[in-house]
Amino acid sequence: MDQSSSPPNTAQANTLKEAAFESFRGKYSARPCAISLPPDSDQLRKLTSEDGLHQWTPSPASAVTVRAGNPPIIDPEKSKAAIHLWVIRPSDVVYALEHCEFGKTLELGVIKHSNLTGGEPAHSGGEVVFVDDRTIVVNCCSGRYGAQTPEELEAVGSAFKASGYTVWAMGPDEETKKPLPFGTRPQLVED
Amino acid sequence: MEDQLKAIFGERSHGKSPEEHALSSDRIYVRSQVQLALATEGAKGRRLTAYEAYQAYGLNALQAVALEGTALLARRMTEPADTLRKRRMALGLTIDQLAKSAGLLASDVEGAETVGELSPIRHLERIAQALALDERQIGSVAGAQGDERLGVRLREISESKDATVFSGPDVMALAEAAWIIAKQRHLEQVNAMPRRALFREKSGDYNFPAYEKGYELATRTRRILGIAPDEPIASLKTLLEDTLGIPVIQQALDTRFAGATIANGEDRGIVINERGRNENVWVRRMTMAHELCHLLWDPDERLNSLKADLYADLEIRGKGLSPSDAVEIRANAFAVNFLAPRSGVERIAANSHDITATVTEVMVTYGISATAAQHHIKNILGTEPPKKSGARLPRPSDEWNARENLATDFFKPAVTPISRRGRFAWLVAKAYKSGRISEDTGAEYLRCGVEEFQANADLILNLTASA
Repeated sequence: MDQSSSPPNTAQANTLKEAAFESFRGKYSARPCAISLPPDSDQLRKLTSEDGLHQWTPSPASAVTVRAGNPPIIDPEKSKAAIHLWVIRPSDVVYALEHCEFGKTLELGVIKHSNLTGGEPAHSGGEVVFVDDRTIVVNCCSGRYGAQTPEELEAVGSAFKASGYTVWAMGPDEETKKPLPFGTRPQLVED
Repeated sequence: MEDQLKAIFGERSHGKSPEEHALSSDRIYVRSQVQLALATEGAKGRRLTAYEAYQAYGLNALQAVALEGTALLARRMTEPADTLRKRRMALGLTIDQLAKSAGLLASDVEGAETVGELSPIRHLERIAQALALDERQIGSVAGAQGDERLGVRLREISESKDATVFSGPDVMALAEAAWIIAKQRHLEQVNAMPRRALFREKSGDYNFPAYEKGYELATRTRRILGIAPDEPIASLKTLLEDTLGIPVIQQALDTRFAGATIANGEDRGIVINERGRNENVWVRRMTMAHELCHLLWDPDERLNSLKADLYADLEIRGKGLSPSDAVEIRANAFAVNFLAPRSGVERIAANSHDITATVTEVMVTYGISATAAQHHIKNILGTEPPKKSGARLPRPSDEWNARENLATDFFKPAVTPISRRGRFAWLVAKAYKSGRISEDTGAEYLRCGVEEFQANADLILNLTASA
């Protein structure tokens, strides 16, 4: 399948991105962190940009050709160092490496989604791996802000796609009624 | 610690250890190919009790479920595909053969063997069972606890020079029996039943006359087990399974085969062919006793992971032509003297008016076939009984059939394969009733529906207990 398109300018891309995620926010309200944490838990320590927190920006990609029959399967063990946590917050979308220097200072040795929000409500959360600068594989696995329904999973994929990326998404695990983690074949998010 | 365990297993759980908390927990888990979670309505995966999940995946996984909502089980992208494919090929099986044995389509097996493919957990479990792998570990542990030596042995017999001896279906039946043997031993552990040690002493003495060696071993075995010198063994199956803790699995094999001993990991068991001459319960008793001799007394290196016996092997007598014949002669002699002890035969002979009456009395008292009785009497008394026509020889009474078959013949649910009836089914029902396994697991083990399993669990416990 060929998804070639003209490269958007930065302003246009940002507008598209915001529109995509605002649309998502409109459908899926911010919800509290699903896990109750004591106030002094280091899982509530909020990352800053200096700690490795990134703002989600549109893909710098230009024309994109996607082969639907060649999905990038992410090996959970081998790709551990490349897994980022992402969160759709009320005013922005952020992400950070799960295994980062900041995480090593925490009790669990890794960051949690609540480190991206400080424990505040968020619209959704999951994991993402950058295959290249234009392609991502995304799931909705988060014990704190994970997708609640298959429809939400689908909407997450669409939102990230609207930000300019080619998106492969892990769908729902029907057998557990939870989002699928990395490790099996993702599905290409199409228009 | 108590707070942590309650957070994992729920407020109703209690006890001093994680195991006690797991056993008292009312939480139900569900697993897919890749992860474990608390069961919710509509989740189609394998449902497990807290105890089951704890036993299979450990406390850390259940803690992850409690904290994060899920526990990732498949950490390697290549699992379970690699394990399933390698195991199938190690056993020398085609995809079609495996699919048939597992009750699935070939495309299901192909999918399960494809890296990155998501398969229903129930398909993966069926395939794992058919390959004598631990279905609870499939996808989460590379190799899924498969016994490599058994795999090698199964392949050897599938590639034997005489291609008609072990067919693909035979290999599959033996692989399934190996799984049942290991699972039966696991269920005994789950049910907190002590593991009984088999005899430590082995005997590599097959010197001529091998049959005398067999007689001696039989006498010794009876003494060790506390069986009175002349006492008949009412149910050999019960003796093997209940007293000795040896699983006895009835399977459908080619009619040339009588039985086999199988080792799956540390677990050894006996497989009895339900076809052919074993349809006569007295012949089946001889087969069981023959295999028992191999299992108790043959050195491990001779026993190997799998040793199969043809019906012809159970008839070898005389001096024998090869070392392997001496092994079978010893086992045959063991079998007949274990079931019909020499002293008992001599007593019957002393009180009988003729040799023919002696044969009949030995048969009905000790539950052995006419052929076995005639040879046995000849060896003991030095007198060859005249051949009686089949019409005048006694047949096994209903009591003999009931004592050896009760737990299999009258079993419900009727859809449960004969290989999974008897003590295996009893252990499944017992584990279910004590909350150690779910009804979902129990139904899968007995290959029936969940409601059918639940409706018959008490019957299974009572039927097998009275067998």
